Amino acid sequence: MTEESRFTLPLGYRMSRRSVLRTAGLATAGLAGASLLAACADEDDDDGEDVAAEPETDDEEEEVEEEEEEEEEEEEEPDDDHDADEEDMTVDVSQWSPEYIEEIAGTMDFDTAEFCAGIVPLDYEGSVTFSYIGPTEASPQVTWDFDEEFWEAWAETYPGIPLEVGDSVQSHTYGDMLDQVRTAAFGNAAPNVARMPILWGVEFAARGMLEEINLEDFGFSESDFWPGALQSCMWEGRLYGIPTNNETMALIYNKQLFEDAGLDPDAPPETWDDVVEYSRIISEETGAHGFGMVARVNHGNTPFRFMPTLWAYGGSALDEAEDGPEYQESLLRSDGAKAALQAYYDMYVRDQSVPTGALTNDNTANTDLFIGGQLGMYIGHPAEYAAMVDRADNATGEEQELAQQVVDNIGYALIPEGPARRAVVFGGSNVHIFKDEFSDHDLDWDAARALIAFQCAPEWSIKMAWAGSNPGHLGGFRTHWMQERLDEIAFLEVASSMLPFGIPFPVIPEATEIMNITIPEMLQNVLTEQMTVDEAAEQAADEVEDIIGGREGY
Amino acid sequence: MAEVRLDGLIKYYDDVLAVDDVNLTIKDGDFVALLGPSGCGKTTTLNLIAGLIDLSDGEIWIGDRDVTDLDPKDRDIAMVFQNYALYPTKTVYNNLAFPLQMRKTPKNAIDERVRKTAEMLSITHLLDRLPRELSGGQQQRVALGRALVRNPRAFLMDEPLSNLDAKLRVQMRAELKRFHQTLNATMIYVTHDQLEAMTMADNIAVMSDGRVQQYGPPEEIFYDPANLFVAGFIGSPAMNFLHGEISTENGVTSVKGDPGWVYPLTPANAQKASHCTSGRIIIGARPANLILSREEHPGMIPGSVYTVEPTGDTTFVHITIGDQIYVAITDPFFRAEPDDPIWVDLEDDRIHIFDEATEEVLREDGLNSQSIHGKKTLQPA
Amino acid sequence: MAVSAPQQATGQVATRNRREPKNVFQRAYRQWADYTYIMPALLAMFFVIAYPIAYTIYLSFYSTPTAGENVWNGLTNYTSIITAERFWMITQNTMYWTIVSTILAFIIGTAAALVAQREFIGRGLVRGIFLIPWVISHVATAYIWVWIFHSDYGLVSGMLMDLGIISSPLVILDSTTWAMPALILVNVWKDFPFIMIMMLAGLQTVPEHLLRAAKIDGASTWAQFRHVTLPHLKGVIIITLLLTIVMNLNHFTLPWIMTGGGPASSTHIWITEVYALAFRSLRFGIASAFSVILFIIMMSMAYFYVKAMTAGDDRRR
Repeated sequence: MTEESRFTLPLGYRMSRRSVLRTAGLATAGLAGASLLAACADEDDDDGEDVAAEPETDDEEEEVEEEEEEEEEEEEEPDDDHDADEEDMTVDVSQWSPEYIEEIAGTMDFDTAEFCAGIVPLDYEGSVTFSYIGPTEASPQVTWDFDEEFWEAWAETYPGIPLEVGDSVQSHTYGDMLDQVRTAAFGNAAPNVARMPILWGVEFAARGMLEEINLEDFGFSESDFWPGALQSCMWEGRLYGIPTNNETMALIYNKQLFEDAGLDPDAPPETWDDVVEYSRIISEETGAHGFGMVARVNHGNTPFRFMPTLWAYGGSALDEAEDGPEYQESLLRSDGAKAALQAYYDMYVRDQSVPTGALTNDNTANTDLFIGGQLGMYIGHPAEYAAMVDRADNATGEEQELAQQVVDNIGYALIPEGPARRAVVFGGSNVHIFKDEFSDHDLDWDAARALIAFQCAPEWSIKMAWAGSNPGHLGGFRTHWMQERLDEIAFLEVASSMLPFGIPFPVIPEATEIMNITIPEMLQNVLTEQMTVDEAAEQAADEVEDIIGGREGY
Repeated sequence: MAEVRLDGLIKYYDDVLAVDDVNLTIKDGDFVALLGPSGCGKTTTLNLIAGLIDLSDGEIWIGDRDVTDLDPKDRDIAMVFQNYALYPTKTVYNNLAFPLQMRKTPKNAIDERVRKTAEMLSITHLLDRLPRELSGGQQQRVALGRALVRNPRAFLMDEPLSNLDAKLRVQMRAELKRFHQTLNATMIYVTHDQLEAMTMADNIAVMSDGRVQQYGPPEEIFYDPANLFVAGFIGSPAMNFLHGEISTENGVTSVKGDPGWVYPLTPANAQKASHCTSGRIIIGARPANLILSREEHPGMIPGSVYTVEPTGDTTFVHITIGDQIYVAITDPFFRAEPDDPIWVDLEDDRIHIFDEATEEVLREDGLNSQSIHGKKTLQPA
Repeated sequence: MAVSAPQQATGQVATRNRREPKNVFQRAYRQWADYTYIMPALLAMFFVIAYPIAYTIYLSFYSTPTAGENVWNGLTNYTSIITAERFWMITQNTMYWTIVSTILAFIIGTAAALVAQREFIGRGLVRGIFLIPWVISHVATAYIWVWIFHSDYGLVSGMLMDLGIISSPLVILDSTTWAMPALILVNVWKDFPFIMIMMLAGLQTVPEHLLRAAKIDGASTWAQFRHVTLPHLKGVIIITLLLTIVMNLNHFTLPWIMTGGGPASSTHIWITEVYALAFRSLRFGIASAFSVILFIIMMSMAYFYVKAMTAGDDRRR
């Protein structure tokens, strides 16, 4: 994002992207009291401006409280080209905490139709094709219900732009969508609009298949989204998508096992060094596994669980954890990366405090162990609590008792921090527009805009991500729907409070290879003692740079 | 070589009785043919002797050994199969050597035996060939050679000539007979071809329905059949059967045929017929024993010509009597038109009298030494 | 008969002269219906087989960066593959996997066929039980065996520990030494029924009279097998072995699901590597070149297969 493209903020949200970064800088410097801040950005910090940023944050805090009845912000916003309601969406990410999430939920009413009318007239007649990952057999009922409700609401809002699943809308499964969209795009038959998991889009952006996005055209501004989320839609400094939903993982632990091991059940590990230590204690004292390590190759579960450790110790695959990443050199040979590998080595080889099956396990193996009371802690998804409750309900006899005991003792905590930072993989989905020439359906720009504005605005960005994720649009956190979710979904506020620490994987097409192959193989080389930590790290760093360098040959 | 004795052999296939109480003694050095139509149990009997299938009941003796429970390889027999059963991947030499190799014969002895056998069968030039490169007759010789290469206690042959063409069959028949005579081997030979049995065998066991119907030298089987089945099965064209009722008028015994003819019996035949319990008999007369006349004579059976078949050295005349057709063999120059009336006389000392109820032959003394119901082991007469 | 036969023959010739079209085109035209029937299959074959193969060969000569146009790079893809140490490491894995799997599955499958062929009470049941591994899907098999071998809650370790034979769980799938043997074991378990069926079919064509002849000739059970059954099964054995080898060379599901190629690439074989290159690394050029190399290897197998399949034709004619 360039300065020029910056737009005027709605009243009450005085932080530009730049200012978010400043506060991020503050946090890193340990100056700000608030510990929860966005960690990724594309601009350098300026120490001089950090100080100036602080009062702004304070201002906002006050405004947040007044917000409900306020209507006067308009005057204070001379350049406002958005609907008046939008000011209600303001969210101060610098204050992000479980309490803050609880506090702002339900403080705003939002009318999607009214919002959309400001972008594309509701009587507009046109057509558009759309692909997304729809509900499957495995999805909970609520996902099916909201999906149905979504299409009903769309038909009501834009009766002139007919969308029908199976016709103009393709509903994919997670497993087949990328291959199908990829194939379609190569054959110039891509959908006009596609909503895809985070980072899938970059491959298409890199091939020049996606339309560049200007947020204002859709009624949004940069401040409506997590900086990391926007970063995940960027390719060579330009924006090619809009975040629809975002989530981060959290540390899930078994309080009972903590107690049995003589640890304080209400004091989850603060740092990764603590994790190593606690894992050893739990394994020694209880015989259960301490930490749920995942180091399988060719599996997405591995980087999602290992990268937070790597980043926390100060390493990274390229420089994605740094401010303004350039993706030119690999930080895998850094001391931080080696420290992270050493921590894994210590747990797996030295202490043997983690499952031996880590080299072949995916994360379901960990949930199996956890629900069986055999695992102290692991990195899990926000929706995992619900899954555990389900499994406890479905178990029988003795197992049921055990599972219920585990469920009763589940603790959620922030992912531990390391010497360099606290970090987690930033997940979610983005929506993209394919260029006309790569689609077999004429691109109706207004219809596409309407569809994107409709689904990315607070209401549907929260409802479409109800069970497993969070609204991409920060305004979603203010709505009463968020209030409902917090009441419904246990630990949601803890899981959601990791969002500011989210770091997206490198936004380059080669990221899948690096994350699914290079990183896990590096881990396996260390854990099987085929290589020393230094050797494995150096080799992986070379490999990553080789990949980035557009290597030729095998 | 040894005697082979079958004692009360019974074989059931599930519920089907395939071999029904077969009792036979094949004398040492004898060539015995098991003759019968397909499904009569002759091949099953042979396989029982070989040990290829298990008995349901009975005993098998070869020489002085009870081999009933022995494996085929321990019975010391050799067998020639209908389709030769040569090992397709082995050369002729190795096919011949195989039985010896399996019996751990020294190598040079094997070589000697193989070459000697090959020479005897004139297949020395074929020793390096594979079976599929041989003609049917050559394969047959190899199969024979594989049996002859050892000195087994008995040779078993399962229709070994039936896959050869007619000309080769005649030739092989003669060769086989010669081998038997030179080797003086005990041979059990299964065939459905009465000509083979008649020409080669010392004794024939005629089988039907799993039973031995008659066991004896070919002449006896031919000239003195024990029952209606043997009489009808042996001989070509087959024996004519005339059914009728016995009646005695004025001291003369006649047969009153079903179509109405009356044929007076000679005293000897009358004596035989007197043993009949049912009052109805069957006169069996081979075609050569029918005498034809164009004129009516008393005591002749009236009929009409159906058709005439000249065959060169004889002529077959088919005659309609009542609703049956009979065959007579007459002189080569006999000619007649269809439906010409004709009278038939029988050679009285050559005809056979059967009891219609039991189908057993009737003899003057009333005894049938070949009764199929006897449990004793049949010895050739 | 001797008189009538030639007449009949001439009649046939006359008929043929009248009816048979003279040239190929006329004949082809007369058979248009036949061609129409096979045309859809031919077209489908073209699009789903010929075109992808051609495109793969084309791509194998290009460098295919994720961003930007494909660039011709001649044989670079090929030379870089066969000069890479990793290729030979993976080739070694592939050979280990294929050869050991094939031999073991063949021995066990043949033994099972011999057992299943004998007549005994409960033969049908035994045959059915032997077939179970074959009818379970590969994916299910993989998950079942991961569970059986699992280093933490595996069935094998659990049972051995309950029996007091070992004191801590065995490390199988997470060991660079034992992962491959474990995969091979599963593969053998999965594949032996196929070999059993093939051999059973072959066994049932062994001519009974040859076995009888061998029995009479004094052959023991083993000698009967050695001199009659085995030579008769030669064709079936060659075809079964070739099919099994190709099946194993192409086997993807078990290694991919059970270990993903790990630990430390110790169970990566050709086909998993190609898949990872293409769909994990998006390096289509190199993956294509790799596929072409495999294609050549497989086609040479196919040559032997076809040769074995048609070997008996001369004899039958």
